[in-house]
Amino acid sequence: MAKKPPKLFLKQYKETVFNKKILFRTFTEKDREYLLSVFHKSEENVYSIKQDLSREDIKQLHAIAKSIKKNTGVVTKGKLIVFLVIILSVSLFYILFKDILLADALKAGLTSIFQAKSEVAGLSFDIFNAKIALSSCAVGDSTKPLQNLVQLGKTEVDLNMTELLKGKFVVTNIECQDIQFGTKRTNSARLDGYVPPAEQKDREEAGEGFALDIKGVDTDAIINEQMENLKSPGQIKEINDTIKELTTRWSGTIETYEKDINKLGKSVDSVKKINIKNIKTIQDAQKAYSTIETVTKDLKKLKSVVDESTKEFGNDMEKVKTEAKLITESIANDYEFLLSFVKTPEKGVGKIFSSIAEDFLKNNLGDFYSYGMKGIDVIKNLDVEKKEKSEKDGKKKVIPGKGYKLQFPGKTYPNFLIENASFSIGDTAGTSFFKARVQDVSSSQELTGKPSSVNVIFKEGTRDISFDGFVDIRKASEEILSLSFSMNDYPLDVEKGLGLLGIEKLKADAAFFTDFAILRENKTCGSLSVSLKNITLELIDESNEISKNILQILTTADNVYINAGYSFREDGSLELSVESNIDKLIADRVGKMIEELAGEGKTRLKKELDFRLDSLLKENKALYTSFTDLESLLDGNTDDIKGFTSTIDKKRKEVEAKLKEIQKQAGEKAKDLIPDIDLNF
Amino acid sequence: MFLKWIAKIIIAINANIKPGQISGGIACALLLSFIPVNLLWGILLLVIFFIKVNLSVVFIFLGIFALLTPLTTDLFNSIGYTLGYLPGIYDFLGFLNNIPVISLMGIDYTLTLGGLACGIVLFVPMYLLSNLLINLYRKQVRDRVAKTKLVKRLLLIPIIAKLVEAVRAAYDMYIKTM
Repeated sequence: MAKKPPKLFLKQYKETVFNKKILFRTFTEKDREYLLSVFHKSEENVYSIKQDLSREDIKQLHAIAKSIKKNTGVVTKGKLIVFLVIILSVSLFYILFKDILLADALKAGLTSIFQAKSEVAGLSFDIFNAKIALSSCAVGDSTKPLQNLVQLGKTEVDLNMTELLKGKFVVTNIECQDIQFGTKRTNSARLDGYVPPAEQKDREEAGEGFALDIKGVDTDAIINEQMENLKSPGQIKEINDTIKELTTRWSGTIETYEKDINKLGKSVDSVKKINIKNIKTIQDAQKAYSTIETVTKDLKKLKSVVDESTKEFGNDMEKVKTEAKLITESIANDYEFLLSFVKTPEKGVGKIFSSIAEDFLKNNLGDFYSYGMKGIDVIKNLDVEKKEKSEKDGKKKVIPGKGYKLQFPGKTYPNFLIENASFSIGDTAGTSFFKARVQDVSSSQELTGKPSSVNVIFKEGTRDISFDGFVDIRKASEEILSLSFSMNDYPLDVEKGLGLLGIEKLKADAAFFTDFAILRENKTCGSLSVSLKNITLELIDESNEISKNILQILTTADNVYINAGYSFREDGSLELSVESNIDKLIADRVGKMIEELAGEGKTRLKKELDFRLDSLLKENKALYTSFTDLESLLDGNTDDIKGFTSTIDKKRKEVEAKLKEIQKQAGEKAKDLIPDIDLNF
Repeated sequence: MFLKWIAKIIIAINANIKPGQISGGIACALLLSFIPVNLLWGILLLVIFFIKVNLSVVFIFLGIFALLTPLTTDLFNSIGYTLGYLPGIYDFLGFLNNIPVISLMGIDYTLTLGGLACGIVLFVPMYLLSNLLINLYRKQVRDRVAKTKLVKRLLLIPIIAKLVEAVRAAYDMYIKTM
């Protein structure tokens, strides 16, 4: 507890100063009156605090002094100092750890985008020059965990700081002078719990089919390889099992019926043995009739059961017959399936070389479509500023909690933009280099007014590969994607699919050009041209006439070219029409030979398939025969029952006739015994 | 909690606090309530935090004025839209919009612009009016009201009694006059 009045009141004040510093800063009448009461005013108009103040007075003066202090000034200095200390601490922390934080953020971002582990090393962020530099960056491959998708060496990123402070991430330039693809990793890039997409097994299998080579069709190999995919062996086995099961079941049933029939036969024999001549009395007749009725009852019961079984057996027989027919169909289908592995020229021998080229291109051009679609997806995912775009068109749209957005003239950047990214290896003036450039990747193509484009050039001596493309998802654009790819003087090495022409391997220097576009509504169109020179061939059999002719045609032609137009269906499959200048030459010289070879191959394949299925078919035949045999046994049972019925009916009629006869005789006898009585009373 | 806030306002009005701190708090609350919550709103709140205004008054009046926001949205949108496309202002806003950080404050949105304009225009009248009312209350009303039978009866109502108790606990000496 303070014993003295506060410092504020210990000083002596002139009246004007007292009013200004104390009274005008006291805002309750009661306090003002109190202050005047505890101050002494001298004759010189000087205010000083009285000396004989009580403890209560001192307490109240402290409270008033505190209020006066609070009522002075505009800014709360204490709070401001605390705030500035916090800001300074955060800034210091950021300056010290900014590189680590940014490296971690970049690593996390790349991991999330590519679904594989990524590493960033040697990152430094120069705030004042808005520059990020890193010594290396590796992005793992999610499908090949021990490989990097891409590895960057020393890289510099220039940011637009003005836009960064406006909350927009605009990269004006990315320079990377060392880029490598598919480099090895020491640790796995696969993320925990990541499930790689299902591999396209079917397509791969289809692509590795068997070819009709010059030695003929390797029927054994085709069937051995495809045995698991054939349906008929399984189906025949299944049908055989069904027949076996039915035969066992019906054999048992028929055997039981036979036993029942034999047993009933004895009863029928007892009926047969009834001698009508021995029936003398009504009692004898009734006894015989009763025996007949009992047997009839048993007979009817057995007949009903056998009839029902006969009907059921008929159904099973029908089923077996139907399945037997299915076997034939199934074998025919399997044969068709196996024929698909005997590659004959689809469009006849007139387009034999085109057909081979078509197969080759189908296996390689599909990648264009999938890469193109991936590119569109990436750009579409980035393009998130559609709302603002619609307002730019003049449509007034209220954004909840914000109102309308005013549009100002001048360059408006999207929230994310990479204006230019360049990657290179080697000197572009030299003979070997790699150069890639990506431009205008943004979160709103409408705002930048430019499509996202990519350009890649790879040169190695006389050979070069170049790739140009853009993705344009702006509303007014007609082409969503355009890609052009060219290769010059590039070594081509084809092994698959050439067996048809008797060629083991074809080597040539190829010039390849293709352009491809995806238009609105997913329509696609593309064209390609391939020209081959310096062709060398490895033949399967050098003495073969077909091979010899092909060798001569290909090596003497000045230029072998293939032109094609293609488009992709919605499922991504390729529709291709191919033409080649040497189709006719090949067709004229070796067409007939190839057709004969193909026909012979198909026949052998059929024989081989029949041979493989022979044991199963024989078993099927035997089982079928034994099952159909059961039908005659069941019919025999039915015949026996019919015979019994007929015998019993006959005997019943005889007994009935005898009974009537006995009754008649008894009536006459009774008449004879009664004397003539006059009944006229 | 709510009673504590009310008690704090009663204390502020009756205590030895500069009327400007209370009326400033009310005017600041009006300004904040007119602007949607964004960076500008945050910066204004930060500034208010450092200047000598009564923060309890700011938060309570912010809550009160916020209740009126749905009624003012369309008006502020219209004002913001009209104001935003006025030749001189449009150019100035365009200039501001190109200044780093300021462009993040959302002044290119009509609701922010309209709210900010109305808030600035009404800030001074609200400050002066509040000041006038507080002074009037302190000089003319407080003592008279405190002595009326109505207030004495009101003090018997449990909730009011609780309120008074809360105020008394906080600032005993000023209640004695009531």
